[in-house]
Amino acid sequence: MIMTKAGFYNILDDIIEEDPGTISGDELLADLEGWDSLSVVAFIAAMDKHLGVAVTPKKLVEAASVADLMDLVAGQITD
Amino acid sequence: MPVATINDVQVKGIACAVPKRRETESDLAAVFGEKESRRLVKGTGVSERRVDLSLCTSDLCFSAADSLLDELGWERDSIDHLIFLSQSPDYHLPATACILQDRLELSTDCSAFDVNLGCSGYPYGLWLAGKLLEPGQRSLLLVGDTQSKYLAEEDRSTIPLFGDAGSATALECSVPTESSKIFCSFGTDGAGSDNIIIKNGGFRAQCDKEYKRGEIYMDGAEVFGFAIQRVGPLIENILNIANWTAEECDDFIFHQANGFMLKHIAEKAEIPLEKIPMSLNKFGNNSSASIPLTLVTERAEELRNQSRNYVMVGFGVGWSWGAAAIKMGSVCVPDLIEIDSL
Repeated sequence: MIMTKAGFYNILDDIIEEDPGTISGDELLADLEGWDSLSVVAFIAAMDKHLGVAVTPKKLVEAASVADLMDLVAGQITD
Repeated sequence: MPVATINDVQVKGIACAVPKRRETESDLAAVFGEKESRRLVKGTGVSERRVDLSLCTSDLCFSAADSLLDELGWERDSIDHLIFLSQSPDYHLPATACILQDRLELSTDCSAFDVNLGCSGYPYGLWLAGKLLEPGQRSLLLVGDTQSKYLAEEDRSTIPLFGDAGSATALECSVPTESSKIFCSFGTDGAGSDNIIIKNGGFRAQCDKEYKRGEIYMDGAEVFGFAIQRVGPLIENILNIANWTAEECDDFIFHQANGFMLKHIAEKAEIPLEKIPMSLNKFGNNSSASIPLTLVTERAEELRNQSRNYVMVGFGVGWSWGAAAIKMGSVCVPDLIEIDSL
């Protein structure tokens, strides 16, 4: 299962309850108002559903940016 | 996974009791603000919970058992075994089961003991209560928790989620029939024990400064990661043991962990949502009582009047997981009991 970068950003938009196109890839998670513990769970679910990847919560909470999140599933993201 | 088959045992009745006192989204808004409380309700799937600091789990289980024995018409001295399965006992000691034996006026010729399990507890309890039975014997399984007493102030991981409930399930050794078998499957991974934990109150960490009083700590992301890893194989395993297809199972009664999580698990396991009754929107996550509470509130008529195949799936604190497959029908199900504050 693979996904484009744009698809990945759209999923993040949905998780933080922002309009499509809000996330551009350069953001820090601390600057996203909607990114919280519920978002973490939603992200794990979304990666499991769309990519079949079980993201480890311990690694996920270490992520500081959108780019870090993408690194967790890097093998399955295309341009 | 270790498996077990219990022969010649039937579930004859299930009753549940909850506090009358409700907490709703407006109570959450008073703590977390309106916008955040809306988000928490959406994220958990819990819009209302029953919590009452004046009621212990044993009070709820007592009421459920008292009502169930009356409705079944079972003499009190006909109960041979009493199990109290909970993580909120009355005391460190004695065992709450001993107190309940007396409160329920059961015979002194009755075994009684406590079991310390949470989310996975109901399948474990059915297994234990069933396995204890000799021909002609009856057992009473009391399962519940009142986590409201463990919640840390302003903890958004637990306050919006947990509700109080107690249950009573009556089992009897019976003549062999199609509905007198219970299939079970269990698993444990204590490496996850730190992810849902109350550190104080026991003997390991009497002086632990990290957690005040006996407050519960829960890492929701770890719980979710655990659940999506373990629950799918557990469902597959219990269906194989019972020799049922998913289509042959009428209802999957899940521990009511979190609405978002249950929908994800259902989608992944390709189980239609109509086969997954949910009580958590009205009662929250009730730990070990969530499976019997879902049966009583969402499937009472079916239990009373139809013979149906049920798979029950518990998973969580421990990490511990268990499932039971059972055909049930003509089950005595008193209406949900609501209890005033003491």
